Amino acid sequence: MQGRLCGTFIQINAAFLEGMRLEKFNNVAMGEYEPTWQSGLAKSVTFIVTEDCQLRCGYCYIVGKNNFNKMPFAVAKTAIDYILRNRDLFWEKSVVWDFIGGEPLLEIGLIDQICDYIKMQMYQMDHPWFNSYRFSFSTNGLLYGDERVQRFIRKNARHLSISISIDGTKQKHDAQRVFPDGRGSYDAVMKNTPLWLKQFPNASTKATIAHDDLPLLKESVIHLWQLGLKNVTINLVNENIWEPGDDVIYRNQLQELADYIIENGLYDTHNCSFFSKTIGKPMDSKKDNGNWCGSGKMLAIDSKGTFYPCVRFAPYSMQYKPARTIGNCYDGLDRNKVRPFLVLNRRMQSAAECLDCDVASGCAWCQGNNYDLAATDTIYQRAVYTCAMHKARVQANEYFWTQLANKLGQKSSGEAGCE
Amino acid sequence: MKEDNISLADRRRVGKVTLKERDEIAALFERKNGLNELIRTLVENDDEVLKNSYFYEKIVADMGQTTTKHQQWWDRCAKQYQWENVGGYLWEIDFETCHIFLRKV
Amino acid sequence: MNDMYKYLLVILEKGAVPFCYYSNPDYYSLANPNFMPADVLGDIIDYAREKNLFLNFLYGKHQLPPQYETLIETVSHVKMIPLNLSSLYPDGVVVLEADESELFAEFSSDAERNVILRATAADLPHLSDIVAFLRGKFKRLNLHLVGLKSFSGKQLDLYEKELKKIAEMLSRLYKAGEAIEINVLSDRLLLHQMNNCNAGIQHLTIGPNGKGYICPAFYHDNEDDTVGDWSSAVAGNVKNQQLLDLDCAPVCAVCDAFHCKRCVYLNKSTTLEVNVPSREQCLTAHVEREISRQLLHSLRTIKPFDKFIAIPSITYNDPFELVIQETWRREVPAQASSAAADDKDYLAQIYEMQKKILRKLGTD
Repeated sequence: MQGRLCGTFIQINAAFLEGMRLEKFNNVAMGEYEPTWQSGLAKSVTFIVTEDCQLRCGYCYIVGKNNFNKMPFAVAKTAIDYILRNRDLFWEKSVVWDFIGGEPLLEIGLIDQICDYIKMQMYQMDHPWFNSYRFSFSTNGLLYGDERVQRFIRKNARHLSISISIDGTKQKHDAQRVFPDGRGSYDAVMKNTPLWLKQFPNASTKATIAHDDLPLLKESVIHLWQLGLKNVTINLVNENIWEPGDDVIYRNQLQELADYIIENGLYDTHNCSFFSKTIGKPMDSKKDNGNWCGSGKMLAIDSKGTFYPCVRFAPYSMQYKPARTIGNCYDGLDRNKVRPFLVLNRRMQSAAECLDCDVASGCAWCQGNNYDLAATDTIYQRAVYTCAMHKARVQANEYFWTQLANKLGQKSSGEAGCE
Repeated sequence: MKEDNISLADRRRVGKVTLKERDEIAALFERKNGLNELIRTLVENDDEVLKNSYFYEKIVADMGQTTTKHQQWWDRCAKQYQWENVGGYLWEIDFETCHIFLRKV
Repeated sequence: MNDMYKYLLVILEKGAVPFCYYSNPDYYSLANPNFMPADVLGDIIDYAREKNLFLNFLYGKHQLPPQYETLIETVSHVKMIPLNLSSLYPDGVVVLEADESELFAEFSSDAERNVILRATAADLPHLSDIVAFLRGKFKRLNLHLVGLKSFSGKQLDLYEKELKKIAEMLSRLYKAGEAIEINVLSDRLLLHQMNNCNAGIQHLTIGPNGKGYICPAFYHDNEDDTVGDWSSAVAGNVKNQQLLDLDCAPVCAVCDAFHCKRCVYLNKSTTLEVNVPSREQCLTAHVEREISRQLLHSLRTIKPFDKFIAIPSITYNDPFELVIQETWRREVPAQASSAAADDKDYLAQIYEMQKKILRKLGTD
């Protein structure tokens, strides 16, 4: 066996993993990064249309939900005009106009008005973005079947990307995604899911795993696949909520899921973001020095017209630090405040332990969360609360890819394979 | 997962275009969709003033031109690459891979 | 103690003279001086003597009580003083405000003295005249621009014009064998690595309230922005101290405007990060660099300048562009090539488009 576990640390033969993954698994769907529209080079502009939500999800980073901060159309209009008129600052070939909350569909009337205005303005200004734009939503799904939402979908069908957050089985989903009175929202979301999947057959969901629902991880991923969502994006909570022993549960769940995938031959047709073909390698401090997070390259706008490098820096999602702004729609983008984000790299925000880590690749972070938890008011300090969880995921990936290699070796040669 | 779950008989790969050609048809395709939805917006908003305006006429004319260019691209590339053509099937492009498929209607 | 500190700055009163890029609204106040408590001053001086640390005392316009004078003279130090105290402390480093130039006639001549000159945007039209007037009153002049973060493009152009006049004066003086120094022009002639302020790395500041600060600017801007009690701070308990180091400054690490002070206060107040400068700071440093380059070039045939390492000509005026281009070169082709690695023209087009727009981004 090419790896051994030592406490929560792993010594893995990196060369073995490299060779194993890249050659054998070219045709395996599992572990592939789902291609993003325009290769991720589109500008993302996020409108925080409301800070209200019907749910009170346990892991939600939005600590300041309220029902009074709603974006006036005039603010959206001013922001749109500013963005479209300053092509020098917003030069990307494509744009994703993103709508977020709270729960964005609570303001579908406003969103409809904003989108109509965007389309008209892009066309009237002969803006290049008219030929390359999307409207994107991440919703709890409760209002998906509402006629006003459906009317909006019909009107913009070819330009929409809508993701409904389903966390997995009813038990798992209802453990976290609850109404204020504590009731789970699974049944209400499931009423709308068939319609959503019919209208967007290639849709994906965003599921979140927190401490309490780790033991439900495997069956939740399988459940999502059974619903028809072949591509499951599932993430751990970034915040410091993990407890000793969580990494063991996590690893075991992923290994059980790995067994299920291989036994049922799902590796050719299904995907789950926990499994990756590139995870768990050391990273060169010069060649692999890019920042994980895209904050600073996107733009979030709140109801007052204030600009943020990402929605995670807005006041309603900051627990310990002041919000981090980069201008507003009246005075414009403050380019000096954007500079630190654009030059932020992996080396300058990571401790030596992270830079020297043998299994660094695939270890993710959220810049807003980093800033909120940093010892000073800086984005140049990485929070590492998910370190043990990342290493557990690497162990599970090593297990999965080894088992898969054995199985594929058996399929091609008819003999028991071994590495 | 780059392809739908469709039987091989219903969809067959017949060719490939360059990145530049892909970008050309992608832009026309996107523009067509954008114009369609813009027209739909004006109609649904029931804005009589706008619908009778020069602006609306411009959009409709633009739609016509874009549709023509869209069709011309297919005609040109089909002639250049000599793709297989079967009655009851249409060509379609995978924008990610630049492959051209013949799909049963 | 954190062994890397070489000296400490001690702010003796709330209205202490600002000697760098920052402003002190209390400098002109007629209120009580609120001197640092004598016992705190005594503790600091004892500590400095024990650790062999040099002290920079920042004076206000008020004369110190005799007890303070006595204490101060027991330790190696330098006094940073306003003009009105220059005759009282002839060895002090005098801080001149360019908008008080009508008082400079009373400032005695001393060709061996170090002098600091602070100038705002309003002083730029006469900057070269003021510097010329001060000739004979300094050996080294440290020029600091105040309010740099709100300088417009036109003001920067005016600064460049005035600097060129000062450079011409320097050139004549050097050719005549007169070796005076003006930081923004003469330092770069000699430097081949960064010579930054290094606040928080080589020195710390102690406010009159007994608290530690990265530099006096942080104290005067917001008293609550402290790194802790002074004794704890000098012992090395400064959070995220590594961010003050050049190695953690992504833009500055690739820059060769070695004379730049890399002011972390200006960094923090413009970009919200101590390790990233604003565009205005970089443009200013590169204006100074370019004029230094031209000055050195004009002195190439004269000793000892013929031995100085030439300052290379460059095509950028903001090293931020270098960092971004490197990022794009690494990231954009990788993303675009997922479609077709054989279309090199396509990849080159993306990269060239980004470079052109990057250049346009720099214009105001």
